[in-house]
Amino acid sequence: MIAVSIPSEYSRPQGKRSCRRLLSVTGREYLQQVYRDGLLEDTLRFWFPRAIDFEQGGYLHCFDRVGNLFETDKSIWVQGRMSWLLLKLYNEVAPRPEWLEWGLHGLRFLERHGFDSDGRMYFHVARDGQPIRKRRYAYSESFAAIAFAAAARATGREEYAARARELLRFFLRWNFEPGGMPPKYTSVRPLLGLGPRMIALVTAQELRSQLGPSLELEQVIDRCLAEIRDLFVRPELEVVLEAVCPDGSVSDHLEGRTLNPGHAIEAAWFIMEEGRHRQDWELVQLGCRMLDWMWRRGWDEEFGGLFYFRDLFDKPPQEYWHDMKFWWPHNEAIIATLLAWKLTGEQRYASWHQQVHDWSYRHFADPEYGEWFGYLHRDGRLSTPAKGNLWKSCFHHPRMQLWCWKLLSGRVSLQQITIRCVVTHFASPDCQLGGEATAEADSQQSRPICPIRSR
Amino acid sequence: MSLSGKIGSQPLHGLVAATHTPFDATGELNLKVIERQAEHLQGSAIGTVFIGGSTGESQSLTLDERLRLARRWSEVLRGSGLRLVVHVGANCLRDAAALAEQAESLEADAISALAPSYFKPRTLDVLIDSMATIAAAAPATPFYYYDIPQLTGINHSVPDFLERAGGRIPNLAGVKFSGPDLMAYQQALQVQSRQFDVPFGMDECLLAALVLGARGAVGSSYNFAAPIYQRLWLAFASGDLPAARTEQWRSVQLIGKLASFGYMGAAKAVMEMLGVPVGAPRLPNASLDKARQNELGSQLEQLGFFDWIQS
Repeated sequence: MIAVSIPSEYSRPQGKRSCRRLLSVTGREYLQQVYRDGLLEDTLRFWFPRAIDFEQGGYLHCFDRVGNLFETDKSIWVQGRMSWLLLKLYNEVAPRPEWLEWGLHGLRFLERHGFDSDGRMYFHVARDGQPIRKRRYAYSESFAAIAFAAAARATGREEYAARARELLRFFLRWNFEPGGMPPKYTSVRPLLGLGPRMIALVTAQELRSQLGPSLELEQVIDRCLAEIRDLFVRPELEVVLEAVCPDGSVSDHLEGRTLNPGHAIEAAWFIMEEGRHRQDWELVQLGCRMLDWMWRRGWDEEFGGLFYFRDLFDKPPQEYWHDMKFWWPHNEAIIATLLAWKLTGEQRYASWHQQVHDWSYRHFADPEYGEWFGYLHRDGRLSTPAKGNLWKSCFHHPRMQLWCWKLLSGRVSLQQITIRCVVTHFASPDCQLGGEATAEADSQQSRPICPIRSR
Repeated sequence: MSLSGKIGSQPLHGLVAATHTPFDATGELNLKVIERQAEHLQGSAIGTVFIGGSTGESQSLTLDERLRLARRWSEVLRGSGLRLVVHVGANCLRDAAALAEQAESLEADAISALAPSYFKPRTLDVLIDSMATIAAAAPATPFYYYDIPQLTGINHSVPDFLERAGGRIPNLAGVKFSGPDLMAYQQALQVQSRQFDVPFGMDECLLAALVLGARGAVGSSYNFAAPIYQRLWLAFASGDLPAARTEQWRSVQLIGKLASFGYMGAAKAVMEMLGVPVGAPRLPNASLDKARQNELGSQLEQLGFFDWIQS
């Protein structure tokens, strides 16, 4: 619990291609401290209880650099995501009553103001809950589902669990059944998106983690994995597509060529995580290949950081903010590279992790007022000083901190995977199975930093 | 995080442990135990510590000891995820201001102060003046007035204090409310002039305070019985009042038992039983001799205390 004294060489950026930090015990201790302390002492302190709207319910989240509110409207995504995060911390880090209270606080606002009379959820409401906007798509429902699931685990209340399952079912019907979501385009050029599949995947994974396994959830996960692999992952082009023709072919137009490397890398770690959960080496490999391709397509060799959009054939991208650096792709890449390294021991993932970690902490972090900035120009200069808005809230960044802390504290069981990795990759020159891979088994025994709830 | 970012962002929500001050066998300050205390509290899922208050026997410490105590806590808590609230109140307001100034330099999350009570502030305005003097020594740190009339003998209205002190004390965050008057507590929660944080300080009626709208609680029994209150809070938040009442009844029995042995000495003896060697209290608080400690241990065992605190 006492701060570990870390030689300063590990806290300094160590050059673009270095992977030294993850390969040493001291370096890993340093990183674990960065993620854990960052979550508990920086991110949570920035948001809570500042974000709790004690007068009108829910969370306020449009904060400027210092933490002053610059907009009182509320995003329904944000209500679900922040409620989930707090209840997840309550369930998995420590049973602190304030996390429970603050988490349920957001859920009550969602119950009261999140839903339209047709059962669908809004996207954006005024401070008092009056609806401002409802979107074509249904991501509000998916984020509410994980919040209800975490609340069910926290309180043991079955009605929350039922609500979580209903919301996931609704999300699936809306996205994947005829008569559901109105299409974005005319019937001339129909497209399928990666987004609904990866969100269905991670939502089902989270429901499994909070409510326990079920055949229904496994089937959802199976279906998402199959569709992502068969439709969006294209080994011949070494790419993960963001939108494809219904038969899986490339739509060689602006939208069909638009790649979102951060999004694909996020999907990659969801799949690696499923591989870890199922001890399925092929899934781990699938996730790693997705990461490999999209890292190479997304990383900006000139200024560092991950581009927001790229064009499949390097034509001019459709979106003119394509070269900006957004916070969340970096959060997702930090998780993905760390998880890939933990699962495979391959040295390039340690290098990439260090590369994206150092670039992000140098450019997004705000040591003076806490949290990360969200939006940078290509060269890393600040674009807007907001710490929160209708999109950015207390979600991607603390989720990264929590995941990476857990990964580095050895709470992820990797023994079988590690053995498979040795068998499969013993001849690979890139496979550096040194101290870390063999140290995994030992670190399972180590005492957790915070008590984990036993249920 | 910069100090200016702290105002308004650090209310005392959840369970806040009012920590004991550790002494060795000769009654000297024993700072090396603080690490063990912090570890114990972190393991009990406590989020914030309130040091050097009534439980911390601040009125039995010298100024120098209080400065050393705060410095050590701030060193130990760095990187722990625990928040630090330093109690700075004293009969001598100069001492209190010196402690406040130090707490700000240590980047404490908040400070709190008792009213001077040998010479008592006769009017509410004098009380506010006294608190303003202390708070001004740590202008960038949230300040909580600490109201505990049963110990100070000062009975000025807390809701009136909040209504009137807001304008005088810019960094006033609220009041640590340790009195038994639940009507005044509810009035304090309803003060409209500004949003104040009013953590509740009587562990033995936490449930009543939660029903009235409490969001935080500062107390000594959270040091050694946190799981009871965490279950209480969970049951309350889940709408299960009978379960919450069961836990509160455990708390009442526990506190009644400790009080029958002399609360301070008994509470510190319980910490020893849990492997946190905080030592005996200083006079005028009485300590338990070995035989009484054993007697307490077996009565607590009989009560079920050691099962109650399994998380």
